[in-house]
Amino acid sequence: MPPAPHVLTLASRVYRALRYAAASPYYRGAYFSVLSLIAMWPTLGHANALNDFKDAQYFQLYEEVARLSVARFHQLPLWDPYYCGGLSGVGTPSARFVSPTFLLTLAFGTLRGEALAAWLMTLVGLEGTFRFVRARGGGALAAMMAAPVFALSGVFARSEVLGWTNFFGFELVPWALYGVRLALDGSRRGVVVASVAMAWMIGLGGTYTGPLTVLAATFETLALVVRRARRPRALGLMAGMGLTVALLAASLSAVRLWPIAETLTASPRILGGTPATSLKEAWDFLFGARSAPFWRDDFLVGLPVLPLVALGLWRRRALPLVLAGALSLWLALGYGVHYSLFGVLRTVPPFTMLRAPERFLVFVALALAAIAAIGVRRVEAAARRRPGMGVLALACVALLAGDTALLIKDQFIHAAGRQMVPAPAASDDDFRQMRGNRWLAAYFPYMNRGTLTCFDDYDIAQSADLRGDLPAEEFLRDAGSGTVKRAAWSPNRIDLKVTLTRPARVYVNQNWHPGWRASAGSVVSDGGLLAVDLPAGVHDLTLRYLPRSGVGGVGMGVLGLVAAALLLWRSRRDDLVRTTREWGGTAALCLAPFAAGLLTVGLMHEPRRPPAPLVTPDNEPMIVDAPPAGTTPVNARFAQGILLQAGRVQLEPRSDGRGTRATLELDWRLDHKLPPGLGVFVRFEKPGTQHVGADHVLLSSVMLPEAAPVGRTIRDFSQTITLPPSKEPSTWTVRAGVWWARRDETRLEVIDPGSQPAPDRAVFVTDVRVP
Amino acid sequence: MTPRHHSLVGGSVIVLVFAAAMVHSAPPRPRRYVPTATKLAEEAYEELEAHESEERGEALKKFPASEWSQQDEFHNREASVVRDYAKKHRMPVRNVLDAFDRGAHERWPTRDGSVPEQKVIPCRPRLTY
Repeated sequence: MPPAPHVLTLASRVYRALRYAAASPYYRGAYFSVLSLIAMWPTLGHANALNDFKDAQYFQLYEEVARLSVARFHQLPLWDPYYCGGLSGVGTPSARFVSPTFLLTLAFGTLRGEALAAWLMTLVGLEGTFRFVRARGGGALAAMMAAPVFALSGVFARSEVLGWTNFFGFELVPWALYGVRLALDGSRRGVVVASVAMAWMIGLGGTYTGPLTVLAATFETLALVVRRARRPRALGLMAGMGLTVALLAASLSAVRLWPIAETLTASPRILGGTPATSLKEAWDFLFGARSAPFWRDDFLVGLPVLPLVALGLWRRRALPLVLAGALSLWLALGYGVHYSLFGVLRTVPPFTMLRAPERFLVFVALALAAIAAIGVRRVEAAARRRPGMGVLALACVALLAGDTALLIKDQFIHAAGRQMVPAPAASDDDFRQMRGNRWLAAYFPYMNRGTLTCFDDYDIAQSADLRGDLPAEEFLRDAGSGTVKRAAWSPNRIDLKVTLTRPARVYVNQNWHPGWRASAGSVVSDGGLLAVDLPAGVHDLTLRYLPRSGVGGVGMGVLGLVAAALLLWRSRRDDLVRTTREWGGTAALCLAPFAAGLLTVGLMHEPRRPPAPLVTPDNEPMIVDAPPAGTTPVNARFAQGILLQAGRVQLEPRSDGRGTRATLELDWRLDHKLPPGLGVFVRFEKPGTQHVGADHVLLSSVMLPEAAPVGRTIRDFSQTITLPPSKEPSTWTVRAGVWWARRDETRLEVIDPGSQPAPDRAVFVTDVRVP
Repeated sequence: MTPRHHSLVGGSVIVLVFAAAMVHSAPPRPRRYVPTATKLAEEAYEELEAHESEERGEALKKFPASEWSQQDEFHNREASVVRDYAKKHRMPVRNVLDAFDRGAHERWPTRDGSVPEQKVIPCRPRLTY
C-alpha cells in the first residue's frame, strides 16, 4: 500500500478518536481542566500574594470584608464599615461575593480564593463556550478546540493583571446565551441555566457583564424570532419562556439588584467622555499589536483563528453570529464612528452608566470562536465525501491548537506583568476608622481599620464629618451629658452601654443608611453621620444594620433557588414546555419568589433616604425668584430654552500661600424641562496659555440639570477653584456654557451671547482681578 | 475500553488536575503580625507626615477645581511615599500604615508642628478617567 493511503487512514482514525473524546464529558472535562490549569499556572503560583494595582486594592477589600463578616463575625456581609466610613456591602455594584466563588474565599482566604476562582471560572467558561458553539452548529471536536478562543481570550488575561476578578463573569456569557436559546425552545433546564448564569455574573460584580449580556440575550431572542416568524404559536411560547427567564434571573439576583438600585438611585454614576476605538485599535485588541510584546493585546483571540473564520463566514448558520459580531464591533468603536451605536445606547438607562465601549469586543471574540468552529464543521462535512479532506480537517484542529498555545502564552505574559506583593499579616485589634488611603485599600481589613478616603465609580453617600483620629468611634458631642462605652462590635451590629444625665445624641463614626435600626431611641442622620437620639437614663443600645432590600433580596434569592431546583427536578421527567398550561405552571414557579419581596416591603418599615438639601455652600436657598444682589447680569441665551441670567466670582486668598480660592456662582433659568445628558463647562482664562476648567454636571453639586425646576432662578455654585499665585496682580476672564457632557460632548448653540461675543459657544460671565 | 473505563480515565485526570491546583496554590506558613517598636513607628510617622504639605501642593496644581480629586491625587502620592519608606526601611507596608494610624490617634508630633487633616472629602469621581 502506498504511503498516502496510510496517512489518510491514520488521519481519519486520529480524527475519529478526537471526535469521540470531544463528545465525552469526561475526556472533554479532562482536556479543559488541564488547559485551564496550564493557563492559570502562574496565577495559582502567586495565589497568596496581594495584587498591588489600584483597582485590585479595593476589589480585594470588598471580598476580604465579606469574608471577615461571615468567618469572624458570623453575619451576612450586608454592611461594609471598612470603606468610605461604611457603605452597603450588597449594594456595592462591583463587589463579587454573592457568587459561588465566595465559597472558595471562605475556605481558602481572599487571595488564594481569588486565584482559584479565576481558574474555576476559566474552566466554566471553556465548557460554556463548547456548549454555546455546539448549539450554534459547530461539531463536537471543533467546538472543543474553539472554546479557548473565547474562554482564554485576552480580556481574561488582562482582568487578572488589573485585579478585575469580576470580569471573569464574562466566562458565563456563553452559558447565559446557551440557556436562553434552550429556554426559548421551551426547555425548563434552559430557563435555569440562563437565570443562574445571569445571577452569577451579577453577583460576581457584573457592572458590565450583566447589562452587556442582557443585550446579547435580547439579540439571541430576536434572531430566533426572525427564524420562527411564520409560526405565531411558537412565537407566543418563546415570549412566555423569555419572560420566565427574566423572572427567575431577577429573583435570583434580587439580593444584589435591589440594594444596588438603591445605591445608584441615591448616588447615580455620572459619566462623561466620548470614548472611541478605531478599527485599527479593534484589530490590535483582537489579533495583537505588532508593537506589543508577543503581539498581545487586551481582547486577544489570535490570528490563527482567522482562516477558519473565513471558512465559516459564508455558512448560513453563521449569519446571526456574523450579525451579532458586526453589531458588537460597531458598539465597540464607541464614538469613533460617525453614527455611534454606543452613543445611542448610552441614552438608555442603565447603559448611561457604561464607558469603555471596547468591552463589547468580548462578544466579537465569542462570535469568532463559534464561526471558526462552523468553518471546521464545513471541512469535516467535506471530509465525509472525500477522505483526502480528513488531513485538512486535522490541520484545522491543529490550527486551533496553535491558537490555544498562543493564548496560553499571552496569559503567561500578562501574569508576569502583575504587581504582586506579600500579603499583609492580620491582627484583631478593636475596629476603628483612620484617614486611610484607597490606593492601599486592601491592607486595612487586615489591620481591622476602615479607610475613610476611598473611590468607586459613583458619588458615594459619605459624611463630611467622619474623622480618622477619634479617641472612640462611638461618642457624645455634648460630653457633659453622659458616657458611651462600646460593649461589642461587628459590621452589622454595635452594642453600646450609654449612660445619659439628659437627652442626648449618640454618634457613631460611620455613614448613616436607612437600613440602620436601634433598640432604643431613634436613628437619625446628622450631616450624613449615623446617630441615635436617646432620652436620659441608662441604655443597653444595640444598633443593627438590617436593610429592607437586603432582607427582601435574600428571601427572593432563596425562593428563587428553590424554584430553580424544582424546575430542574421537573425537567428530568420532561424538559419541554409545550402548552400554555405548562407554561403557566413554570411561570408561576418563577414568579413565586417575588412574594418574599412584597412581604418584606409590607412588613419592614424603612425611612426613605432624604434628598440632598437644595442649598448653596452658604446654606442659602438654591432655588430663588431672581439672581441675588451683587451678581453681574449676563443674560446669555442657549438652545433648549436655557438662560444664564447672572454670575459672580468670590475670591479669598489661601492661608498656605498656594494661590487664591475662587467660588463661581452661575444663575440659570429654564423655559422648560431639560433632557438628560447636559452639563456646564467653565473656563477661567488668563491672557497667555493658562486656563483652569471647572466643568460639572450637578448644579451646586446636588442637582442634575434635568431635575431643575422651570421658571425659577437656579443658583449653581462651583466647587472651590484654586487660581495659581503670580508675582503680579492678574485678570482672569470667566467663560461658561452648556454642553452634552454625558453624550457626545458637543456644546449647545448660543442664541444670544449677552454683552460680548461667545467664541466656541462659551459666553462671557465676568472678569476677575486677582491681587 | 468500555464507556465506564473512559469515564474513569477522564475523571482521574480531572481529580489529578484539581489536586495539582490545590497544591500549587497552597500558602506558605502564615506570617504573624509583629508590631513595630513605638520609637521606630514615631520616626516613620514623622518622616512620612513631613511630605504631606508638599504632596498636597502638587495635587492642588494638578486638580485646581476638584477638591476630591486633589485629595485622591495626594493619597496616590502618599501611597508611593509609604511603599518607598517600607522598602527603604525593610518594614512591611501594613506596619507603616499602623504608624499613620497610631500617630493620628495618639497625636504624635510632626516635624513642622502641624496637625494632619483627619477629615475627608466625600468621594466624587470625575466625569472621565
